[in-house]
Amino acid sequence: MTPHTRNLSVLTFSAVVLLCAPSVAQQGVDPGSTGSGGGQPNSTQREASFDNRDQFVPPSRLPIQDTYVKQELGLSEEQARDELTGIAVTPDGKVEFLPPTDEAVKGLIERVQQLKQRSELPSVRTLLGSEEPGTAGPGGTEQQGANEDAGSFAQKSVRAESVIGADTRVQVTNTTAYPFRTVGRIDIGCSGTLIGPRHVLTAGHCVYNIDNDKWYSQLSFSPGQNGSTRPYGKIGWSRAISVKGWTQNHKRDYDYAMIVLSSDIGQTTGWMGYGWKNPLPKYNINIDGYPGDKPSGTMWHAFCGIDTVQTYRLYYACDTFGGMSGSKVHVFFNSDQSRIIYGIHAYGVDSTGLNGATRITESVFNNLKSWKAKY
Amino acid sequence: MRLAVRFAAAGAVVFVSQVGMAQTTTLTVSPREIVSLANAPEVLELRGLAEPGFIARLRFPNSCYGNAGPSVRAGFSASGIAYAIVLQRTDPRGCPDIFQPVERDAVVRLGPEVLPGVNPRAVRVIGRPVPPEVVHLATPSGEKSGPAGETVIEAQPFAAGAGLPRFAFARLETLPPPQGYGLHGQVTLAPGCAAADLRAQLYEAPNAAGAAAVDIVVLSAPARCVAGGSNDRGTSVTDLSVRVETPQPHQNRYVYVVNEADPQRRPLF
Repeated sequence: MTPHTRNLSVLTFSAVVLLCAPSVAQQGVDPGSTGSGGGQPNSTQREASFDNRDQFVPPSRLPIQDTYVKQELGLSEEQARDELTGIAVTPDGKVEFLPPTDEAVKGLIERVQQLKQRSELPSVRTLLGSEEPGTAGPGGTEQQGANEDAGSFAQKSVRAESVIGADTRVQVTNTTAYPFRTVGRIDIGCSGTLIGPRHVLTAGHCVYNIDNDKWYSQLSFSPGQNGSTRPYGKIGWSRAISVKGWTQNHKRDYDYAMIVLSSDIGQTTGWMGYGWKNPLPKYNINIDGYPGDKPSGTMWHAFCGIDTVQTYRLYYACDTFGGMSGSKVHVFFNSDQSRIIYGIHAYGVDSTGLNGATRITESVFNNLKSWKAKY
Repeated sequence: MRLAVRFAAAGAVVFVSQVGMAQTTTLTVSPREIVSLANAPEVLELRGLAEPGFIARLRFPNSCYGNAGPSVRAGFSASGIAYAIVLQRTDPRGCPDIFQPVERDAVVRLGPEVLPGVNPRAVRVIGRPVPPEVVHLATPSGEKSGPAGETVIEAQPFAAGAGLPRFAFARLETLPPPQGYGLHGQVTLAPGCAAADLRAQLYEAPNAAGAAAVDIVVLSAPARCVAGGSNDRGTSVTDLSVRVETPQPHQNRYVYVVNEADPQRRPLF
């Protein structure tokens, strides 16, 4: 760990301690049922354009910044509704707007209000941009979650603090075993995970290119792909959905998406549950996907502890690479053998020295649930 | 992206022990100090430059990483050869981890920070290769008259103001993971320098199957301590052990010490 990073960690922890107001943990989980969330059918149709280049140039001039608290504090209900508005596109270019549920908007506004109250603590004002109150303390004493055992890698993997630098990813060879068969490669060069019979969770930048404001069309999904073998075939898509916060406002905090497949392959493979939790402990997490530095089409597993929990992001030292975008970041609870996705891997090392995911917040959760119910 | 990569801030841990009259220094490289080349750009092609340096054709995971460009660590060895390792530079904003590879040229200059008043016989470049090669170890050829390409990079020294002192390999000792292995030999230092001036770094290169396959060990010391070549001023020869703690298994792995007069790939199994 560099001195800079170490200092950052210390500052982060200080802020967390200061912000630890008594609170009751809140959470929500969609364990894998199709759900019945209230997607609102009010929609507008228009034509979409696609980015069909084989070697597309992805977001290279990202004109986006984290949403700092000073921006968030000014977020009105109308703006919140706008950021959370879903946009669905079909392969033939039809676009449909999906207003967020009142529950999703309310959840975001409440979080803004919480941030606003805490911003009155002057000593931590500059760190409020994204600190999540009430996270576990240092040393991992409150860590939960276990390594998803893909065979021998349990003993090969080491704690997050030890994997820095060395590549400790382990290849998943039993890709037809649950939960690995719910993970698949997306043609555009990303990874995704089934969270419903035909619903693939991935990153927003895997479906929509903010560099040229076009949708990707190469979104076929190959669950459990292992090299050139596709045990469940390559499944076409019927819709790609993201939110305005990503597609129009280009904010990384809204970098999440869902791909709706043209067949219910999840009835064969099963799917994973997802959820939100506030505060979110620094769980041990599992990440599975298709990194481009490994032999083509092979699935790899990374395991580590969450380093930093932010309002919209999770940071960790798990080893990842281009191609892992969209991979689920999930926790395996040994106690009841359950698995819950709490994040979507999206970005490589930034100034924190860590890799990062879009966090599944209450509003993200509500959007995903309503999209699942609608499609 | 990518593998979380950090450089060791404080260098390796140094232990000095005395056995009889001989003093042996042990440098330890812990797993968190290992830098993986798995997230370095692939080196597709190398060309020489009229000045010390090279032009590299590189492949990045996507254009964001391509725009961030490579980071190059380099040093001048006692054998008269400059070594350069091609890594990935970090974009402070972070890059999206989508895989849509792009190719870029980079002109890499080895400036005075890397070559303090010396002119290398050759520049040897180590980088992540295009499979099936295990590690790209090549001397650029086809000298060019001047810089070309899109990006000009100034190589950074392995450690501030450091060179690569000569290491004479004696033996290799392997232990079960995660105890790793030990390299034993002698290091030659200029007068006035001690083993405490040494630092060990390890770069881990993957094979075509994505597994760590070659450990590249770099021993650095302040430039004034580097003795050797045809103008060998070195009178200080110190017994040195480098202990590498690695969680990786040894199967099909090799170790390569750039400080040797004629570096060899030595199997760890």
